[in-house]
Formats: sequence, structure tokens, C-alpha cells
Amino acid sequence: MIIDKSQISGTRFMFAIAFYLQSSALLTSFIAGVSEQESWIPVLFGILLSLPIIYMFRTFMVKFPDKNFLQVLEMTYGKVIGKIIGATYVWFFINVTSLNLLDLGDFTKLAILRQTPPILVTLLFILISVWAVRHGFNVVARYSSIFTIIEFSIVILSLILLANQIDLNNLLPAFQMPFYKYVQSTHIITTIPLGELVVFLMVTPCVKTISKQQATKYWFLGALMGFIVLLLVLIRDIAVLGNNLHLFTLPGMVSLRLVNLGEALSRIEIIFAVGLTLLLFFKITILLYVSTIAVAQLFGTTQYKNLALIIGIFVVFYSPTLYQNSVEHSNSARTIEPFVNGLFEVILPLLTLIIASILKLPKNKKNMLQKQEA
Amino acid sequence: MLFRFISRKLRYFSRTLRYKKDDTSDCLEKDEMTYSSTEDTSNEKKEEKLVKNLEDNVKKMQAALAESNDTKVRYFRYGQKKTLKGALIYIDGMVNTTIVYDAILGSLKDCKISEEELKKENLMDIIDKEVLCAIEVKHENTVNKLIEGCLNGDTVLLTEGCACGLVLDSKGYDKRGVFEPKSETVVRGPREGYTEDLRTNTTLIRRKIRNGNLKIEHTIIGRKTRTNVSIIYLEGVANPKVVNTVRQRIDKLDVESILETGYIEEYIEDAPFSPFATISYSEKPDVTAAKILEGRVAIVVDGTPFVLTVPMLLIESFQTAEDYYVRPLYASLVRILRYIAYAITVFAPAIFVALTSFHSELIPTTLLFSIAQSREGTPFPLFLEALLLVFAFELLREAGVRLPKPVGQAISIVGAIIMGEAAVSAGIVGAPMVIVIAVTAVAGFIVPNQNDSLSIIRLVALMLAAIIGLYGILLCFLGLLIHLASLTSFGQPYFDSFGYAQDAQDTVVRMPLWTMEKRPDGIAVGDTTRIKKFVPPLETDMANKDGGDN
Amino acid sequence: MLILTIGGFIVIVLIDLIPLIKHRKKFAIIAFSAVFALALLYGLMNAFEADMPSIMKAWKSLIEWLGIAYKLE
Repeated sequence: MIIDKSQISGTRFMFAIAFYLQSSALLTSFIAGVSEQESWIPVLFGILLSLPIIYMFRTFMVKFPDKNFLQVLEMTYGKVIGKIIGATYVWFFINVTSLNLLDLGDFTKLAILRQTPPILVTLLFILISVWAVRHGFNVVARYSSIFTIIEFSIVILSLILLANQIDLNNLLPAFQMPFYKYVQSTHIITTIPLGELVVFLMVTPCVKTISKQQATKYWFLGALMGFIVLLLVLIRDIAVLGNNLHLFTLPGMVSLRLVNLGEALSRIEIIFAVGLTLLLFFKITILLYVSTIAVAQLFGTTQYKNLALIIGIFVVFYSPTLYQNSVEHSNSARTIEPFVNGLFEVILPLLTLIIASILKLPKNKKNMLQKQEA
Repeated sequence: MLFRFISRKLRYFSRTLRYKKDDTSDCLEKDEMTYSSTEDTSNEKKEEKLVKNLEDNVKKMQAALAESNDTKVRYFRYGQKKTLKGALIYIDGMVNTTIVYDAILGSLKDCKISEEELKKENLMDIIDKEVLCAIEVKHENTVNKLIEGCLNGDTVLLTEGCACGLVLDSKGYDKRGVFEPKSETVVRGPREGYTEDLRTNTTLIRRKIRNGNLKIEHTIIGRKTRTNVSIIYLEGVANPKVVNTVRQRIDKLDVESILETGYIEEYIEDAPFSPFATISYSEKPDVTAAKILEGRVAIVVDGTPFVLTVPMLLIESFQTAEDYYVRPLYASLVRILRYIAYAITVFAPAIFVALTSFHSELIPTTLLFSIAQSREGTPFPLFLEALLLVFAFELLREAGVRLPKPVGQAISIVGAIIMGEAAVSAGIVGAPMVIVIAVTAVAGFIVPNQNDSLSIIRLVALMLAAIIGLYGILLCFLGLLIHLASLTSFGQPYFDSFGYAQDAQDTVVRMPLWTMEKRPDGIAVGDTTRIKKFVPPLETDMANKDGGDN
Repeated sequence: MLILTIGGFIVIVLIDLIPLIKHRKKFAIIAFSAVFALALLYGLMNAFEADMPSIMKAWKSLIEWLGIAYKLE
């Protein structure tokens, strides 16, 4: 059954992917702690490693154009096991939403509003997110293109403004660290920002018909735009801050604080704060939408609009209970989360794809173009 | 007793809250159901037909018009031997007496047809085709239709022995002339504005678009007011779905009175609870003509100089007619200025309150000192000051609209000196706050179409800023974006013009007219090209005629 | 704080559950009740400031039991 009848065009989908990746660019502290100033190497390897993963996601979209991921699971594994794995995926989506909300709460507590209890901040945020989710995916992904371009220009602008502080020698020396650190960093990068694209498997029914080449083009171009921004931001931070990168929780903010163009432009980090909040808003809205659709799909109902609010409130109360403090959060992000995310983002979809190909699913394979023309 | 009253009010309130169009993209399909016309549900008791006796007919007409003093009846005799009786009924003040007496009565009195011919069954037909000199003649035989003619300003002709009446066009009521509209003035461009007469308004539009495909449809709505309403669109360019939706929504209206287009706007719009208007209006014919040429549908109502156009996009509030008559570079600059002005007028008080109350570290130090100094003796917290001044400004604005002209100067002095200077020197408000609110107010006049929305959003942003500072403003901005994204106006998304490059020609900047090859995406269906060939103005023959000087 | 939380949950029930009951969508009511129970649990825990067992701790012990966790410095 089709839960959400709204349709978005392919380019909007591409920009939504790009935007989603960009919003992870500003929170690069968790790999900076591991591979301090050589983080650009794991990021490059992580990008290369995520390309086959993105190809796998695109294959899902090509094979099952009008089924979201939970329906694919039910088709592949049968009803019972499919629903159990679907339930774990529901937990996974809600978990990712809560982690991002926790990021927002921590960031607000750190930089913008120091004395407000973070639950109030996140509660107001979630209320607006829920309002957006109730209108459907069309509204949720509406501003992806314009905000991608704005974000891109802000990054370029910050590069120009920091041009006198960039020292590219900070990127060297390279390959000086023990090997396992590179592996760990690559693993972190591949699963945490880049692998979270698995959520877009839940919105495939909302994308208007596209052929195989177009699907590949949209996935990879969108991911490429996200990668460029990720890489640019990271290189900028390393070049400006050098060795001290791992000392800060928000290296982007610190490097923007160093901008000093005469006397006038001296407090640019407000733009960072505003930009981060905007980006996180859209990321959390997309994640909340995906969680709502997943819950609705699990219970077999199409009334996802009435579930959005209660899931949002659940996420608000669930997120502070995950970790005691932010140190534990970043520790867990370095040690445990890569495996947890890896299970849900890489292993399970790969398994599903293999079993689906063995079972020669989908049974009534219509051509993608034909389906939409009918 | 009280409980029943409260429960009734609560039920009514929840019913209005539950009204919403659940899927606005389907609204067009929903309206394509069958509908019934409401013309005959009114005036049921007056469905009387005429009889052959003249006196009875005249009495029926007078009774239907409530025996008013301005209903005039003029009996006359006509025919070759002047033995047939007839009567003219009209409403004094609505008719052009020259037409009534010279054209109608005169031609009837000059009638030389013999009585035997006139006593046949097709009496009215003979009078119509052979005797009368009136422009438009309609045959009616119900009292209802006849008094409608009278109330429109036409004259009714009744004769003895015929149960049929003629309605003759003789409109001659006083109309305002075509002057420059007071609400939309331009420096360069036509200065014609609509008047309160339907025919004058449609003529003004016709003179702008001299095309045979310009279709004007006519209906009458309103049980008591029976207002004439016209729907105007360009056939082959306007979207037929939108035209059908407009027609059906207007015909479904079972209301009592339509006095202004604002009434129709509230009844047929897509989002009644939104602060943003989804139907635009204008007082100038060239604006409406440009919109009709883009594929929109115009709704003209008798009795008001404001003409509606659907569908509306948010961008239209930022475009004025003058943009297209001045040079594109300057027009683009002014358009960007309008966007910045809208942002200032909505968020400036909120940002000021947020920065000074919550985030003082973001203000440059010297400015911070002067702001702190001005806050020395003021008793209220900044948020209350801002509210007070916004409220004072709204008072001034409303008073300025309503006051009579001779008193205008005095009020402006009161506003400027008392509210500005004296309040600051007395220490009630601080000077920076007055400056911020003054800038807000002035910027608000740049986008007059959105006046209703920006007042509301300004207040909401101010409240949120007072509660959580800059984060609140950000949330307000995001909420605004989400709300705009969910609005549709007759099937068109309200705020989608920044997404793709093709629409950007006319949104952020105003590109030269020779680049606008196609009409805006989605509104027009059918003929979508504006100019057939891309002709930049430099490549004409005059440029390279002779290279040197003579 | 507790009163605000409970008031909030009552408002949520009024907004979302009543239309579902009116239209009699069984599965949606089941879904809503499941998530509502969980949310109420977590909300009351938050209001009483009690400690809730964290699922990430369970994952942590699982992964450390599997022996593949990265080491912290």
C-alpha cells in the first residue's frame, strides 16, 4: 500500500541527498578525535568505500521503484521475519533521529543558549518538524535545492574569508599514524555520515519515475555534491587549525571565529550556528518522516500524519536517555556506532539484495517508465 | 443553560477548525463534481408570471419592488389610432432619461402599424423588431426577471393583452470616472484605474488585450444583492482546470451579499486560515492584463474597482507593473531591495530584541555601549517596549487611513513629535528601539500587498524572540518556510519559484524582456511561448551599417 | 514539570487519537497506542528524573562481547 501519495521530481531527490550529506559536514569532530590532522585521508578513502554502498542503494531503487524498504524486507524474508527485521529498522531510524537531535541539543547548550534546559529547545524544534512531516514529503524536501546552493556558497565564502589563515602544510605529514587508526576513521566516516543515506530507501515511492541511468545519476551526483562540501569543510578546518583540531568539539565554529576582516566582519560564527541549525532541521525532519513512515508501514496503516507527533515526542524524551554526557556520546561514536550502523546500513541491505536476486524478485517486474505512464 | 451554550459554541468552533482541504493537490479534482446553479433558489415566492391585463401586471411589478417611491410608471397609448395601452416601468436615477423618452417612448409614439396587426400573438416581437430603437432587448415573462432588469437600470415595457414584457437597455446611473488609482501609483506607466462599473472595467481590460480569444463569462451571485460578476481569461492560454474550478466555486456560492471582491476571495480561496493571501488583486488594468496574458483568470465584480486574479504566487507580491516598464538593471535592484525590505520589516524588531536581551556579545562594542546607555532609565523590558511601539505604529497607520484630510497634518505632527521625541526624552522608550521600529514601518510600505501577513508574522517572531532569542527567530523562520511550502493556490504551489532556473528569470531579478521566451511554468496550458525567436536588441542591421564616420 | 508533561500528553491524545477513533482505523490506533505508551514511559521517567536503561549500553556490551570494538585512547 502506498502511504504517502506525494511525488517529488528526480532533481529534488538529488538535492535532498546532497543536502543530507552536507548537514553532516559541520559535525566532523568524531573523526577528528581519532585521526587528528590527517582526517582528510580517511575521508577520501571513506568516500571511495561508500561508492559501492550507494550503488547498492541505487539498485534497490531500480529494482523496487514503488516499494519502500520495509516492504522490500517483507517481500524478501516473508511476513514474520520481514516484520521483525522491519521492527529493528524502525528502532534504527528512531535511534538515528534521536542521535541527531542530541547533537542539536548539545550544540545549542554549548554555543547558543547556555542556560536553557535542552529539552525545551529540542521540543520546540520537533514541533516544527512534526508540522512539516504532516504535510508530506513534498514539503519536507521542498527547500533542498535552494539550501544546498546557499550552503555551498557559505562554504566558499568562508574559504575566501579564511584565505589568510589557511596553511596547507597543516595537511602534512601524511600516513604517519598507526594503520588501525586509518581503518577506524574510514569505518566511522563510511557509516556515520555517508551510510545514513539508507534512510532514502524509505522514500523511493515518493520519487517520480526515473530510468536506470537517471537513478544512477541522481544518487551519485547528489552524493558527489555532499562529498565535495564534506571534503572542503574538513580541509578548511585542518588547514586553519592544524594540530589543535582534536581539541575542539566544533572545529568549524572555531575556525569561523578566527575570521577577522578589519573590524566589521568579526563574529561570523553566528552564521555557523544558524547554518547548522537550518541543516540539522532538514536532516531531522527527513529522519522523522522516515521513522513515521516506517512505523506506519510496520503496523500496516496509512495514517502516518497522526503518528508524527507522538513519534516526535518520543524522540524528544528518548534522546537524553541514550548517553549520560557528550563525552560518552563521542566515545561511543568512535567505538560502537560504526558497527551498529554498519549492520543496518551495509550488511542487512546487502543480504537482502542477495536474497532478492536469488529469489528473482520482484516477481511482476514492470518497466519503471511503464509503471508511471499507466 | 450555560453548559448548553458553551457546548454549542465549542462544537461550532471545532467544526470551523476541522475545515481544511486535506490534500490541496486534489482540490481541483474535488471541485469537478456536478453542481447546481443557485439562481433559482432565491425569490421563490416571486415566481409569478405576467397576465394579460396591464393594470394587474403593473401592480405586480410595483409590489415586487416594494412600492418604492423611485419606481416610476409611465402609461402611454400607441398604435396607428393610439388605442393600445402600454406602460413603461423604470427606477428613477438608474436610467438615462434621454434614452427612455426619446428613443423608446418616442419610437413607440411614432409607431404607424395598424391595430389589427398589433393585436396578433407576436405583439412583442413586432414591437421589438420593427418599432423600438433600444440597443438591447430581452423578452421575459416572469416578474422576477423583469424587476431584475429594472434593478439593473433597464426599462420594462408592458402592454395590454400580452403576458410578456420587454426589458430594454437604458442604463444611465452616475459613475466615477477613470482616474489614477490611489493605492497603486507609478512613476512610469499607464495611470488608468478601474471604476465601480462592471462594463467599464471589462472594457479597460479589453482595450489592453485586443484579442478575440479573450473570453468574458458572466454570472449573478448573491441572494439579496444580485451582484454581476465576470470571469475573464484568455482561451488557449489559461489552464482549463483552473477556469472550471473558479467557475464552479463561484457558482456554488449560496450567499446573501457580495459587496466587494474581498467577499469572493474569502469564499473561494484555498487556505482561509493562512496569513498569506492566495488570491491577488489589483486596481490597474495593465497589471490584470499582464496576468491574463500569463495564463491567469481574472474575476471582476460590479461595484468595486479591485479585480482578483487567480492563481497567485508569493512572488507576485514583490513584482509591480513598473518593473516591466523601466530598465531591467534598475528593476532588478529594486526587486532585491523589496526582498530585503520584507525581511527587515518582519524580523528587525525580533532580531533587535533577541540580540539585546539574549546575545549581547554579538553586537559591536561601541554600539552596545550606546544601547545600554539608552536603556538606563527605561522602565519596561525590551520586549514590552517593542510591542508598545509596534502597537503605536499600527495605531498611527490605521488613523492615517481613516482621518479626514484637513486633520492630516496635525496627526502627523502628533505622531512624529509626541511618539518619537517626547517618549524618548521622557524615558518611556529608548531611542534605538524607536529607530528600529521606524525602519520596520517604512520598510513595510514597500510591499503593500503583503501587509496582512507581515504584521502577524512580525508579532509571532517578536514573541518567539522574547522567549528564546535568536533560536526562536530561527524557528519562526523555519515555520514560515514550512507553511509557505504547504500552501497551494488553485493547484499551483505558492512558493516554488526559487527552485529551478527557468523560473528565476522573473523572480529574484528581472531579466530583460527579450529573454523571457516562455510563460511562467505551470500556470499557462497550451500556448506557452511568448516570443517566437530570441532577438537580443544589439544584432539589428543598424549596428554595423557603416563603420567609420561620414 | 510533571503537570506540564501530563498536560502535553493529554493534548496529543486530543489532537491525534480522536480523529483516528472517529474514522476507526484499527492499525493506526494500535500503532499510536504502542508509541504513546513508550513515550509516556520515557516522559514520566524524565519528569521524575529517574534513570532509564540505555539501549546503547546494551549494544556496547554486545559488541564488546563479540570482541570487535575499537579501543579508546
